[in-house]
Amino acid sequence: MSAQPLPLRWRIGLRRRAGTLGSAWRQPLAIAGMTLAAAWILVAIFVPWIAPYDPLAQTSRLFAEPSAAHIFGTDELGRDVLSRVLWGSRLSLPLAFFLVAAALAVGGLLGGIAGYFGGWVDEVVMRATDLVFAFPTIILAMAVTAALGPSLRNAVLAVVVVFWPSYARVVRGLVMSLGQSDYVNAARLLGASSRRALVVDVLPNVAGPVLVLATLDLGNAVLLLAGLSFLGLGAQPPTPEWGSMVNTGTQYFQRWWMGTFPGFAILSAVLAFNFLGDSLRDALDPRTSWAVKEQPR
Amino acid sequence: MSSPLLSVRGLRVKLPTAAGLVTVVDGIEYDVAPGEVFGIAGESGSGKTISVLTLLDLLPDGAVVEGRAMFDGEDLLRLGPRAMRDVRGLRIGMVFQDPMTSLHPMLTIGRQLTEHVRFHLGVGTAAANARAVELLEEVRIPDAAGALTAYPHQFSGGMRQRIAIAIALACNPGLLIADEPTTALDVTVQAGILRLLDRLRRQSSLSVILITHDLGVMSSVADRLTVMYAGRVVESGPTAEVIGGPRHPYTAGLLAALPHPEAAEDTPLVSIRGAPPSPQTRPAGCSFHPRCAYAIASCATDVPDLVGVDGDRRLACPVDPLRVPA
Amino acid sequence: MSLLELREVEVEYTRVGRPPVRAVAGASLGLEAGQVVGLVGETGCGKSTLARAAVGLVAPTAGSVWFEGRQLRPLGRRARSRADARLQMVFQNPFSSLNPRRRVGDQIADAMAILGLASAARRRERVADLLERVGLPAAAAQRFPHQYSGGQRQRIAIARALAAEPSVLVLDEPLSSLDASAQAQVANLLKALARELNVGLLLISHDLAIVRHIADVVAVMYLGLVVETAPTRRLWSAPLHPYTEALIEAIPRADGKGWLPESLPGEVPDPARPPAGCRFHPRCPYAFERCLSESPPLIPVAALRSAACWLHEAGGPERAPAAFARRTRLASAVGDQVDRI
Repeated sequence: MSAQPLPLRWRIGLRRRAGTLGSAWRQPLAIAGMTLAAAWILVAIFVPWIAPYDPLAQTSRLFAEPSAAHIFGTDELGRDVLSRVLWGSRLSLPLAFFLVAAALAVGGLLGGIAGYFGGWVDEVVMRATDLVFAFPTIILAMAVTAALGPSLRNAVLAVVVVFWPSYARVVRGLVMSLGQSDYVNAARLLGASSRRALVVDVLPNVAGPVLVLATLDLGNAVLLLAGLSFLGLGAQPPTPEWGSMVNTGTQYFQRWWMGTFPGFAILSAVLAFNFLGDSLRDALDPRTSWAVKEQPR
Repeated sequence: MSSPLLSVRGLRVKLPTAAGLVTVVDGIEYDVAPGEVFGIAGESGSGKTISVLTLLDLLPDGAVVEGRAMFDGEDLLRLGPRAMRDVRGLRIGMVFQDPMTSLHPMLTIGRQLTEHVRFHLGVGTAAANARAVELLEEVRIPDAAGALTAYPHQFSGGMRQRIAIAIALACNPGLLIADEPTTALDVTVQAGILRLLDRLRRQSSLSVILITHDLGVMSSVADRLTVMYAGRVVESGPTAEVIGGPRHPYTAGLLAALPHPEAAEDTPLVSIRGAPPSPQTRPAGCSFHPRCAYAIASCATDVPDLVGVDGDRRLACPVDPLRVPA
Repeated sequence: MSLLELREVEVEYTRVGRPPVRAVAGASLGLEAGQVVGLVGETGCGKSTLARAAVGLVAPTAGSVWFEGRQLRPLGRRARSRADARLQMVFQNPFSSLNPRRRVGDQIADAMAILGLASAARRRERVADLLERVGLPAAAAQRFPHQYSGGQRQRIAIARALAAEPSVLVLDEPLSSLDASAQAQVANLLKALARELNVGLLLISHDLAIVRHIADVVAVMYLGLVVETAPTRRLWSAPLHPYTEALIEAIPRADGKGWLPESLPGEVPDPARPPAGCRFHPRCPYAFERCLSESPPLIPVAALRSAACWLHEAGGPERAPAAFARRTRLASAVGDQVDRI
């Protein structure tokens, strides 16, 4: 690429040919991730036309095994599992996005302020994050939900409470370290105000890593929400939420289709977001972005 | 030369990349006599480091090596891993460029020094420690006994490099390979290390292969040198002659680019136009021809052979534009 | 008064639970328009810190920095004034001094946008001009920093600094991360810029040989103090300070003669605990009693030459240290301990 000294990867001990093979690898993963994510998003949008049955309609065919009529079978109230799984995407996906966006907004703002001003502001924000980190995630989420009353809305709130500190920490760290970097100093020397330096030089470099974190967190959000619903603290029946469906499924173990399919839905959504996050990271870095044309020099 | 210690012939090294095998070292040869300092000069991308890592089998997986490297009657390139382990440290020692990362940060100096000695020579702890103190005194570390229990981070860069040299020489190898040992050091510290290397080899007939891009360092301490460019040898011979009267345009260009302390200081620094090619983009024919002021048509197609000219000197340039008429 | 003047600048860093470190312990320097001053010294001498103080990135804990006749206000929360922006800096590491996410042209145009030096329409033209001046094609403006080598990035950084139309440019080791050919090219560029644009350059470097080629005046630093300043030619042919002498003798010569460079015994002391008296005395072959207890000030010894050494007196004579050397018991004791390996 450039007339650099022979890359260090020739050195002893560096068996991994990172970067070259790495990005070749990643392409199928990126494509898989995006396809899967796109598929789920399309499902969520078009579900009223795709789903064969009303997810809340109870029939007399209880615990029916998967068959032509009910591809994923039916549950304990005769409801079509496939339709419920498909409708579940309308809950889990938008909620996950909202959750992460909210946590990012709150955490990012607090972390940015802490990093920029330092001093006692920084101390206060950091102690708040410490407080949240002191508790295991799910326990804290459970506690908040239980305290506020089990409902989907409160579960969402609980997850935001539990997620914001990671963003605060990351953003604070980035703002502090990038604020010291030479190119920010150079901008300040040219007469840029701190605000301009923050917006033009620091934030774009913060946005990248944070966005990637957020995309990966989408998977975590889906999982946590599902977990809370599984424990009965989130979505309440008859809402078709994947986690609560898995919960019911464990009670009727023999009827494996009731828990397995919602479980797979969770799995595939989380995987899709993870792959998406990886490729987003590559896309945002001008060094690895395929959008930036490599020119011979 | 009567019975060289190390004799390298036809060394070719290809390394794996995403785009297949790339030839990094393209057929080099040289001899190192016992008790001499042999210099390998070149810029980044010339393959000088890889060529010596090959001698000690320190290349990444998938490397393809051709040629011969006769050391003390054995071909280093044909030795199996066990035999190689006996060569490394015991018969050939190596010192690397960056003293900050070449010592183990979590082990005491004493441990790092005695490790070698105990492994290769099988001596007991007391004897190994005594030898370690002796070595540290040889390289002029103050308070050698105390240093045994100290850690690398407690020493400066120059001191760490001395320790690295001590470790490399712990088992009295016949050959020391030093890859840019002073590049990362201040000039006064560098002077100390160069004098140390010179003293060590004079008192024990140690041979040293010294790799550096700094021709000043080469001139002060190397007896003979070889200049590498883009994986090949372009010129070699006694240092005084090569530096005093370079015959290859590249060598001449390198010397001209140096800020020569004796030159009038208002002259601009002369640099060779262009940049050294990466291993993937080496030109056909003579690799230097695109940057050479003396290139003729055949330089673009014919790879020049390394031929003997004038006694011990060898040159890979059929044009030989800088030859001094007899 | 000089274009850029540093008067007895001190920069002290406090550390948690340990004594503070005076990275710069009272350095004085002057720089005129169109002049290149080379500041040389080895690791730990404080030259980078001094460079940052000279430009305002770090506030001096004592002493003052004067630029264009006014005292320089260090960089704080408020944006730098337009006048102060005529004092610019080029950083050591060309890989971290450019924003990896912004195009080269945008970064060069920064100064023009912020300082209002050119209308949006004119900026493209100006950027192309600057790129050409530093030896890069105008098309570079559309690319990103990582597509360029170290030497080229350093030129981009220089172009960015020049966009602010500075009268003084401080360069912190601009050549150290570059290979030999790039070094030569950038060095020649800097020299040309100083002449053509009448910009004063303060060039920090540990490479005395390169500085010799570019600088008009050289200042030598040791352990936080400037120990000698002189026009380049004089410094080389007749150094006044023993440290300068040692530094010059330690440079290996590429002349094929095989002389080993002279080494300086001992190590640079910890800046947090400098020796009493003259900071160089433990390693100085000419030290005598006075050097143990009193630290010599930087005094003018001849026209344009100063040295901080008790061997010399204000007003001369201008003689090499060896000519003065008084062989007292102290000096020979230091000499005997010298193991010049």
